[in-house]
Amino acid sequence: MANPLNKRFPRELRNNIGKYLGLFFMMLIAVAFTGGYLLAANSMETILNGMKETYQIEDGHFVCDFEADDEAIKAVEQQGVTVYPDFYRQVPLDLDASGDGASGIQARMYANRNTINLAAYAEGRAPQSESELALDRVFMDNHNLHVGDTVKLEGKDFEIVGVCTLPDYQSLFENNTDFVQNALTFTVGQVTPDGLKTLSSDSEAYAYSFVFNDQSLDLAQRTDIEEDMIEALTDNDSVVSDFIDADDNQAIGYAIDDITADRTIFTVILFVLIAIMAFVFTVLTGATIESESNVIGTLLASGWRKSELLRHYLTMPVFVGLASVLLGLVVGTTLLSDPLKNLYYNSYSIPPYELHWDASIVFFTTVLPFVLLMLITVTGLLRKLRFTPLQFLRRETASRKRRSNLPLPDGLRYLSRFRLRVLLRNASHFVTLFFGITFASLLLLFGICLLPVIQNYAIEMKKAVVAPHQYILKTPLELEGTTQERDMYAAALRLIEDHDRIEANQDAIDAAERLNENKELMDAFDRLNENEALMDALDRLQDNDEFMDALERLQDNEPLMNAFDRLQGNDELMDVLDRLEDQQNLTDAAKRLQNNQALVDAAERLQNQSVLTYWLEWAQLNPDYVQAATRVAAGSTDPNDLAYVAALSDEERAGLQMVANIDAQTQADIELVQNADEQTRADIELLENIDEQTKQDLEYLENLDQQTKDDIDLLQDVDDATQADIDLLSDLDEQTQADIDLLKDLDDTTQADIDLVRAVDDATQADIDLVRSMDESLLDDVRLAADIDEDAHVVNTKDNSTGAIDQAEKFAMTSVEIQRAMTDKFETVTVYGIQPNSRYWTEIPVEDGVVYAGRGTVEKTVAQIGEAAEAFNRREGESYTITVTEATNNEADVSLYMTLADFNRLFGNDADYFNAYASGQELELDKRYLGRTIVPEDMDKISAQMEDSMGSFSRMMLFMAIPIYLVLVYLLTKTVIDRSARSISYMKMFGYQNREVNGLYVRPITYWVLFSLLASLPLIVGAIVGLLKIAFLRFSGNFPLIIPPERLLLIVVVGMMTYGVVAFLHVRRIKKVPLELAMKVQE
Amino acid sequence: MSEEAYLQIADLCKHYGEGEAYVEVLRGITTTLYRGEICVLLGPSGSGKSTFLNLVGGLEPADAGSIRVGETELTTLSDRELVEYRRRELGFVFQFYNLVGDLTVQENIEVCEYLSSNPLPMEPLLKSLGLWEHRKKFPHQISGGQQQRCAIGRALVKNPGLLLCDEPTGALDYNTSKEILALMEQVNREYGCTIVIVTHNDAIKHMAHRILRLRDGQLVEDSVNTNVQPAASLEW
Repeated sequence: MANPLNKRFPRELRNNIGKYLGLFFMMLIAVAFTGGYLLAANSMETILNGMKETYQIEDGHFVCDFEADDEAIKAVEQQGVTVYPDFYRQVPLDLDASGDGASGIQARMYANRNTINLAAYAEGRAPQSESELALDRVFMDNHNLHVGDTVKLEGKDFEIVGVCTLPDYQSLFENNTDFVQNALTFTVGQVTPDGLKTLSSDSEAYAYSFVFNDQSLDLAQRTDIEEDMIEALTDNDSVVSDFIDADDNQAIGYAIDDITADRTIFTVILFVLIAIMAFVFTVLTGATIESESNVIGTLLASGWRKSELLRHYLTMPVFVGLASVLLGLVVGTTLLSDPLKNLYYNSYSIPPYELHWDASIVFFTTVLPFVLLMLITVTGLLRKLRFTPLQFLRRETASRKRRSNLPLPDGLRYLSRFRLRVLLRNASHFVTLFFGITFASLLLLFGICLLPVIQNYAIEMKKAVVAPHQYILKTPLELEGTTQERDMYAAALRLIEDHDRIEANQDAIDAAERLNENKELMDAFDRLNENEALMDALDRLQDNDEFMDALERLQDNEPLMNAFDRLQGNDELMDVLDRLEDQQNLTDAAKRLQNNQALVDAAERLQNQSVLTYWLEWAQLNPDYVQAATRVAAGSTDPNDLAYVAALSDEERAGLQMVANIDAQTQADIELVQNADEQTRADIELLENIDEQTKQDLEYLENLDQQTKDDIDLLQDVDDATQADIDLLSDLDEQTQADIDLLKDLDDTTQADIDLVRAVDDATQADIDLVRSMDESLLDDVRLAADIDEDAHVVNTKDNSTGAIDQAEKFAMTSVEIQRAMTDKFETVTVYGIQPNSRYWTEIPVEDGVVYAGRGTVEKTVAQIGEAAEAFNRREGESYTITVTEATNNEADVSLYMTLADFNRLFGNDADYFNAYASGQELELDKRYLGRTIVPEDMDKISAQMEDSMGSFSRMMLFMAIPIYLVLVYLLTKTVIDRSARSISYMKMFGYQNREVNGLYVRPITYWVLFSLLASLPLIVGAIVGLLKIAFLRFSGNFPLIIPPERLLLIVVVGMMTYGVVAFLHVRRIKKVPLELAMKVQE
Repeated sequence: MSEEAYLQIADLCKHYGEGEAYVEVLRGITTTLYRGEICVLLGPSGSGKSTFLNLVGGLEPADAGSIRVGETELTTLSDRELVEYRRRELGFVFQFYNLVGDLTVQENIEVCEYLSSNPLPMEPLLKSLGLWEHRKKFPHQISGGQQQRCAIGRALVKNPGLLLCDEPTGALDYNTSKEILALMEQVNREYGCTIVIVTHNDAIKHMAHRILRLRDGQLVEDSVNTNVQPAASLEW
């Protein structure tokens, strides 16, 4: 047959529905929240873990102060990674039409990504035109933005076309060192590459994502590679301003860390709650067992086994527990998972939600809590059932009897003694109540203390920002400089800022940069460039290659050139030569005859005696007549001779007479001419036949001075090639000739310059050509910038007043990692190098050899006063040993302070290195070199961001705490009233008023609740400090765990107010206790 | 009643406390009860009556001596065997009825019916107990006498060989007490169980077959009542 005791259960349930419902709903809520949360957490973790593959999340990234060159990237990739440039521009975003940047929102915009960190679109699409953008989903939700809305980036209109999640910004951390994410005034998004170009290049960050080629590397191997990457970048003159492994990147890992940490908190809260509920079950069932002690004794005496009774008394906890955990699981996973997931979706940019079940959810929210419930309840019941049947029969099981028999001080008033007895009789209830109240207070305090801790942190951090303005620089930037220096840096900035211009002229700029390396050549250019006319001449002449070659060759023949010069200066002569040049035969003849001056003279003289010459020629042609006449003149009468003579005319006779009478000179001339060879004679003949002009020319030549004649000789002796050159030069047009004239007047230096310039090789010449194709202003900038001394500090080009400059104080800062005191993780510690006697760090009197630590550093890390601590700089891949000698009082300050000189020595910087200014006045600095600006008010944002991030969690704690108060206080104190019902009835019968009875029974409960609330405060403060320490351990920074007294008071007030509801119910219950109860037989 | 010795007790000793608090509650009790007998155990308060009953019921161990119930020697049984012994052999009736408050009369009886492999039929039992009309009532809905009837029914339903009653009428008025005693008589007659009634009401001895009297832990009377009177005729 069925166990007849089972019939008790429905009646028990009906009779104590309030008790069981309280327990049931308490556990149901706890399980439902945890189950819903775990399902949401598991789903989100699955989604987040899958993002690496789906969205190609980087393994890390680094940011250079300036664009890294190909060599640097190549060197980095040789370490075993693939590098993807992922530049962004961060600009003000306005939601209203003003576009004045007053909203304080910063948008970090990327060009549409297609290789790494791919965007997930929750709605809409990727931007396709220059005026479209996609923004982060959480930011858009926070500002109620939608697809189709228009926002302004730097005052320019952009239409939102997509709601996206960038997988490397699952949490919107602007900087990795930020304490909390910021989805209110910071966002990320995508635009088209052209759209990105429309944004100010001032704000461009040269970020590079990387992926390890070998995805199986462990952390140590990755770290080694990353150190090598940094070294490769540094070796290639790249200044790394940021280097983050994905594991350390809060923007990537924070969300999943948060979920994991909350998962632990939820699970722990569930188990603690279940444990408390189990104790409540045990206490309540124990009370039932006590009240049924004689029945149990009877049943045991009748042969019932204890195991059977244990099962019986366990049945209700099993039923209620099982029902609550199962239903809780169903409710949680079906109804609460979605809202709970929104706790994260409202804060983190996670791709669209998909449900991912896991058996562990059932295990942790159903199986394990139930097992825990049973373990505690069974243990409690076994303890209650440990007595013999006789002890049950004799009611010797109740320890309350022993406790209530304790002697009390005689001095106590009756009422006090009575109340004390009530407490002692129900000690187990009140002890459980104490722990329940402690736990609920703990939840309550956790909920209401999170925000004050954060607010206090912000206040303390604000104190640590000692200057009204702190400017963190990318590179040392001098506020003062000469005009020339400022011009140079202004030129460099123009070059950098005008990216389009640079891109269009990149080849020319590269050429200019190469040319600039040839100092001698550039100096020559500089000098030549100053002579505009010369340069123009050179330009023109240089276009005539043939001519230039000729000139070059001739220039090597100095005497020739001199001769040429001289001759060319004599226009008349040149004209003559020109004309004679046209009569080549004549010239040749003259040339030949010139060697036989006597002959020429003779010929000339003979030419002057033209009659004689005629008759001589006639005589030569008629030798018979000449001989006959000669003989007749000698006395011959030979008829033939006479006949010949007779045949002569008178003229001929006279001619013969003239020939016969010529003088000796003439005779000699005649002989000379006659003896000349045929060519010579032809020459002479030619010369004799020249026209008058020619004759004059020849005569002119004859009359030249010796030098000129020598010159002509020289020119006439040149070889054919030279002659051709000369011919070429001679044919020059006027302009060319003028140019040549100009060149000829050059001084030695200029000539040397020209020689240098003309000696450049083809590649250089190509460069020169490119450079000369650049527009002048650009070239000026390039050349100005080229003069910058790369070893010198950059000079600010903005104007600041002398006063502002004077009060600005240089300092240096960097981040190192020091091991945390409580874990094996590392804390990011800011190291400051400041001026001794700083006007800003007035409370930190550093001097050489003295290192101050913020109190937070000492509290959170292994850097203790007087002990050497290892600090690691991941960006540099270097380790340093730092010994703290003093500590400040600021618990939120996780920094180290030393002199700037010590700082530079420690980190191996130049002695004059610095990278920040502290200033009481606002400074105008070149944005290009400005990393970020810190003002104390920045710390206020932390509160707002924190409230946004953790507010819901905080509210949830409050939501859980108050029902726990209610249920626990009600259940445990109700039993006290119930088991005292007969006594209450007696009291009424004795004549006590209800009010007085309340004073006897409700007041001790009230005292106890108040006592529990007050006495638990030290416990919960201790516990909360521990819990908050654990909770904040994952954050950078040290959080002074200040619990404001008014918050503690609030705990007591909330606790008492909650109890007030319960007390009201008890008063009603007492009022209903019937008088006749006292009259019933008591067994 | 038969001639079969059913409960044989020899040199039974029991003490409580140590040192100055040492009290010998039973000092060498020896007696034999026969199956089907009604035995009344008399004695003043503190004479050891309840202790005797508890030892026979296996609710606490004896210091020395022997208790044999049927073929079972109790003093050698383990706790588990004692439970089985009680389950199989015993019925208990106490001064206070110890009924389960949220079970009806019948259900309270069923609580022990559940333990037996050979229970008595419910309906005749309820009728014989005069509880048939009240079987569906809860204990707080019936009188003390009816509650005690119910308690007796609960003890009897297992059809035990030995029914131990500790002051069964102690909380009842005169008439009800007589009714209960008559009921026991009836039960003894109908079911043949051996009944030991612990009482300090001397009048009850007249309905018993055997009378035992204890004083200071010693058995000062062990007699057979040759003039058994019906319970209904008892007067005190």
